Amino acid sequence: MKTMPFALDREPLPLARVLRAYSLEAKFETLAALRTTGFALPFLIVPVAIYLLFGVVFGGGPGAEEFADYFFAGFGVLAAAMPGIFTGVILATEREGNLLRLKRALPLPPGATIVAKVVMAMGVAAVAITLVAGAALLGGRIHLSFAQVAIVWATLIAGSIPFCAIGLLLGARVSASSAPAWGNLLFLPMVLLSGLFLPLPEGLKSWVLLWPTFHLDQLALGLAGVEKFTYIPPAMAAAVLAGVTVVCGGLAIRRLARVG
Amino acid sequence: MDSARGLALLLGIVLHATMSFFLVIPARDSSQSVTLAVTFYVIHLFRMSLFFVIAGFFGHLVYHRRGLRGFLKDRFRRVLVPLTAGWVILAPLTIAAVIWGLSRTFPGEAQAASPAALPQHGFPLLHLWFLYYLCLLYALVLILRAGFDATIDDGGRLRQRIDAWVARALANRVALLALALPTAAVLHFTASWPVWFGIPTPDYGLAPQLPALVAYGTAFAFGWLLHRQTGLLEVLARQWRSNLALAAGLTLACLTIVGVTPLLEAPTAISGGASTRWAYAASYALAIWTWTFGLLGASVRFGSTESTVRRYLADASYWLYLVHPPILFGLQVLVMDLPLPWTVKFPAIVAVTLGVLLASYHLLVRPTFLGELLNGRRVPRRSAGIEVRPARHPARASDTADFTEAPVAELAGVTKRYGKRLALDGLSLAVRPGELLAVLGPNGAGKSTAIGLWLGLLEPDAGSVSLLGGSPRDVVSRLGVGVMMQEVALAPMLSAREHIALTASVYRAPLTVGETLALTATEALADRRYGKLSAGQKRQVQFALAVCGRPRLLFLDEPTVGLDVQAREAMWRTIRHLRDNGCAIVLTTHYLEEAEALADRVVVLAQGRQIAEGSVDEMRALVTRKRVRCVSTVALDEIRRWAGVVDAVRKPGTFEVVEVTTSNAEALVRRWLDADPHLSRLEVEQASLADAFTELTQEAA
Repeated sequence: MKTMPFALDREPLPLARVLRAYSLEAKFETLAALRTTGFALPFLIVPVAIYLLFGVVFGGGPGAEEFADYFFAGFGVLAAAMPGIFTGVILATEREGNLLRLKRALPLPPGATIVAKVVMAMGVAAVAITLVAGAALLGGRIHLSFAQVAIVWATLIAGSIPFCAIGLLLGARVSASSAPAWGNLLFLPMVLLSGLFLPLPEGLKSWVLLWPTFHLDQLALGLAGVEKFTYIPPAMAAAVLAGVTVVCGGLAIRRLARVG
Repeated sequence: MDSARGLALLLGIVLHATMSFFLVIPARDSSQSVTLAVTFYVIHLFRMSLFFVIAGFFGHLVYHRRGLRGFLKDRFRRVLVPLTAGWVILAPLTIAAVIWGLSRTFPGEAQAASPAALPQHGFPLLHLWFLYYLCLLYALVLILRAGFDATIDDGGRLRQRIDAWVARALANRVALLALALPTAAVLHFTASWPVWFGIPTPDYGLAPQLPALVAYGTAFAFGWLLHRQTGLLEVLARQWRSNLALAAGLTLACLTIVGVTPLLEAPTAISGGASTRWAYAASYALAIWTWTFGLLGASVRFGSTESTVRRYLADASYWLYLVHPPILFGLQVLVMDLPLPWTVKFPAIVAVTLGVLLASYHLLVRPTFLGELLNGRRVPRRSAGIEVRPARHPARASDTADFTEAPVAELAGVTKRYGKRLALDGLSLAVRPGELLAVLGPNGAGKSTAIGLWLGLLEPDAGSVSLLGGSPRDVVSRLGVGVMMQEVALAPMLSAREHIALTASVYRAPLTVGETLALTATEALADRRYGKLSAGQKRQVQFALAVCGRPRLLFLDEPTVGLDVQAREAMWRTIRHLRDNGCAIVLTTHYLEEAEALADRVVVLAQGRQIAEGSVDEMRALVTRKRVRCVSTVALDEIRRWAGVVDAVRKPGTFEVVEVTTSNAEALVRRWLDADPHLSRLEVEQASLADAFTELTQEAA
């Protein structure tokens, strides 16, 4: 009967309170990220800045005009992928700072930390993608209708999740000091070698299938019905992205449950 | 218990308010009342005895929580200072009010009347006499205790026998008779006993008066013993109804013998012979104890549910009682000639007095050093009455019995390995409700592992871990837990306020952010980015996060590392405050003085095992023990009589080596050499536990 006196206490938080805890966690995660100039600013500004440079300012050439839609999607993918992958840096810092350990000891609803990170990364990505989409609609010489842009926009926002999963796995494994290096080591080839906005040498063209960025690009364009640039079926792209999410996310969660 | 103490004090104010309606002190009201005389009689019968039982109870508590020095310091601040300072300020005012009243009651003959009305002579302690007697009883109990320790009860066996006897006597109610007997006898044999007024109030004169000393000394001693076995409160809680019924019957019997109003002309007279006097003394003493038991029982039975109002009143009662006489007496004198019935005057006097006093308490005492002095803590005005008690569903009173028994967290035979290294080796450790347990030990002793297991961060390789009645891996178990870990880096870009709001959101009934800031004195840090704070300030914010959920159980891992002295003192105060409000606390620390200042119980770990456990005093005693060996002809019995000697034995072997365990090796050796100049092969050795402590203290240094 030892457990008796606490029986009355052993009721979980009501659902509304659990949701509130989740939303506060996400809110403050986002707030903290936005206040970290080194995190938020480049991810919000860089994609739209590069897009303005290459897609808008220098986008008037005859060759460029032809690829305007592809450029738009490509820079959108850049905007979608960056926050997710570099969330790993934040996670690694928190892990090393024992913050995750503390959070595991608190009666925090399980998963709140991870959900908050994903929501934050998606939020930052959403703003970055919106900026790119806005620039494209205003001056991008794109051939897409507004509805097609909206589909690409929505697909890219949802498509930031697999990159969060990659970021979480990164953050769960590497040290805080090496996390930015690892992030760049993953991110740069992923962006440059998936042929999103640079012409690739022949030898590398078939290797684009390796990169999730390519699959997200294909998924967005495929769903928007841009047949000209659809090289693989959207279903295949979606399957690859889902696979990346499950494998990376699963490994990250498993590791965080032990070391966090 | 706190509410019973508050009740006893507040009833005192009511009691004094009745006086002008049937006595001449402080004034004789135009409206006289038998009802109020009976009210006085009943309250007066038990209230001081009840108070002294509780005083004994808390005395024992403080002594064992803080040790001798802490006890003396605490009692000095909370009893002796109010007694002396209070007297200097209150005595002139009170006496002035009484003289004013007398001069109006006996116009023209005030000079002649006052000696008649105030028959006692000597130093006028007034209503503060109870503090004076408390000091006497504290001194007495400490002396008795020291003597008891040194001579009669070395092994503690007698103590156990006494405890068992008290428990038995309470259960079968022999205790009532045993406790009443000394009071009955001393009353009967005191020739000057003013029968209607019961135990003569020793408010004049510094020489201890026998009846008061015996009656209240019994009560104090009983309270002291009662705290040795707090489970006995449950026995009283079960008997509350029958005890109060008995009390009412006995009081009625007493009133039948002496009449409903006092015979002021002949206060010692009692109709009937010596047998009536005996019967009356016995009934009176029994009535005292049945009231005391009944009210204590009722307060345990009903007082354990939380109530902000009751808590506030219990805190306020000490101040209220201390300063009430001038105001109350003044009012009584003021209204004495008004042509109004007592049914109007009496409630008005009580209401105005309490109103004025409560306002003064709220504004002048609670938030200032006075509150800290009287109640041991200061409650910031902004957040007056922050309810820091552990959050839980309103418990049924019947749950409290179990609540006091079951540990809030327990490790049972837990073994934990990291690879080949054995971090915990079959450790069993329980945290009891409301206690502050300090876990000490050198680095790698297993402290952090134990806490990690309790928090569900680790899983044991063998044994079981429980936390608030469940598994620590279960989020629900952790809803009642607050945590302050070592070396945690919180998000640097959020303010303290945001961090608290975030952490509080995961608890069931947390403090508000404002309350948390006030409780932990971190208001000044509230809006600064966490990353910009100094190391000490960061620790303060982390502490705020640990307490914001109103935890039932708080884990503090090296909480004051990096704090300056003031911040550390402030944190200690908050920790004590939480503990006093029922929060169990597990503290790991390198600072022995921190454990000394805070801990109820200390556990020392080394290499994953518990090597010592006990109160701070017991630990200290262990540390200073040494073993001295030599070949000597002095008889063992003689050595055992020497000061500081714990034990002396003769070791078998070629030389007749005598081994002595002592708390003072130097004195022993000096004495020994005096007694036996030819002693040889002298060796002095630290007791083994001391090694662990030395290691600890060296690390701390």
